[in-house]
Amino acid sequence: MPHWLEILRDAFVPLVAAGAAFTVPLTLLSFTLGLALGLATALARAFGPKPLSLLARFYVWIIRGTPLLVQLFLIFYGLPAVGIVIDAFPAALIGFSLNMGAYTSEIIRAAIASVPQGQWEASYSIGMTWSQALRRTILPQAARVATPPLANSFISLVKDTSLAAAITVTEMFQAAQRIAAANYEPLLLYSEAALLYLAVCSVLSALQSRLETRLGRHLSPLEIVR
Amino acid sequence: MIRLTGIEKAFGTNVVLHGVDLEVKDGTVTALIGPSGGGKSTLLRCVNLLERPRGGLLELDDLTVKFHGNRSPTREELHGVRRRTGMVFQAFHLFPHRTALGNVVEGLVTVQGVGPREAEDRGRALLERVGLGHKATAYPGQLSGGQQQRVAIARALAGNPRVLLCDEPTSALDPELAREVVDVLTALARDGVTMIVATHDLRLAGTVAGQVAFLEGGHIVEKGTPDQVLQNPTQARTQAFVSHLNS
Repeated sequence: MPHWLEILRDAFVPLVAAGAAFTVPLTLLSFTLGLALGLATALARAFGPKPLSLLARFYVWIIRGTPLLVQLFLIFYGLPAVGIVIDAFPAALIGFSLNMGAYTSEIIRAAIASVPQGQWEASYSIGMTWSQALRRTILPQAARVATPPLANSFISLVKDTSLAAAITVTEMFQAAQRIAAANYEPLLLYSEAALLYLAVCSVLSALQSRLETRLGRHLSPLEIVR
Repeated sequence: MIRLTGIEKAFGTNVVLHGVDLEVKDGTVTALIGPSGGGKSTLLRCVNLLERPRGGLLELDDLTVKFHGNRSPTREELHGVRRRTGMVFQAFHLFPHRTALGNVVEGLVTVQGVGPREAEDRGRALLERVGLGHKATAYPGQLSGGQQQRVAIARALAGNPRVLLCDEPTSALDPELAREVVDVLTALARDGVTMIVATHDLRLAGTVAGQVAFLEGGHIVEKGTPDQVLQNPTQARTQAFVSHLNS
């Protein structure tokens, strides 16, 4: 076995282990929390009373207008100055969830707005309340519209979790850094890490296609843009 | 019995209904005719509170809702009104992500809490009634416009409303497809379904309806039997409008 292949092989298990222990849970948890926060923010902004709507806009403004890395540093290194000490993993989770929430809220807001007004009226006309109409009629249709941009966010998040290395989370990129520092093979190690991120994102892209097919099964062929 | 008394509606400063009175007896069909923008749709939408009138009285059998100013209807009023009404829209507005049967049973399951088995039986019976028993599993996108509107009629009837409100039910359809819908509505009228139909279709206004009201500028200009309003209108405006319907 050539030397370079041995290095890749030896690093494979620690990298995948770091991915399984930190990258994947961090991604899944942040996305789930971020999606819930995004939905709440979108609803607050679109339907909430004025103060709530303004609060939602303020939140999106702050998060989108500042770098994710800076947000992570603020939470992990900054907050202890005012007595709030958060461990690295939860700090990363908070940072990524807040970030996801802001971006997905705009996706969800646009997707809800894309459902024709007649769908609300039809729902009301058969006696549904606002929340029933939202749950049963609007969100299922908005979900189809939101899937491609949400998948974008999700895939970005997978890669952005590498930023957590900067606040000492030993996720996959951090693991690659450590091994590279020991064996002086940065080209090989970072290439391997890159390929592992690519592999995960490829699986996600495939899942996205399946989800889109499922959510669009009621559509005629002409309505489907591949 | 449905009785509207002094129904007033404005969008901003634009008054679109100036105190409209209308009474519809059980088991009868009333056609609302008149030019676009005359208030037909708005009046229908006031009956099921998709629009909130700023004045007047709405009576649906035992339920009375009084409107004044910007007061929003209470939850009970909304619920009561929606239970007693069904609506058919010009553009169908079927739920595209649900099958024909799914559309029909949606209100039964979600709003009335009917069990899935019973809802399905009732849904299938309603689809049979509009001649679409064989399309239960089709999605709206796989149906013709006429079929979609018939599913929409079945959906509107599912909750057993006291009155079916039809907002230009055939205006989005070509003559052949419109015919299907007219036939279904005719059969329903024969079965004694109470209806208010905003329409430009002479078959609906002249044959199915027992009462025709000509609405323009937010006023009922003239109302009476189809013979009176369509054949021998007394108002000049009605005469002019009806002459175009006939041509």
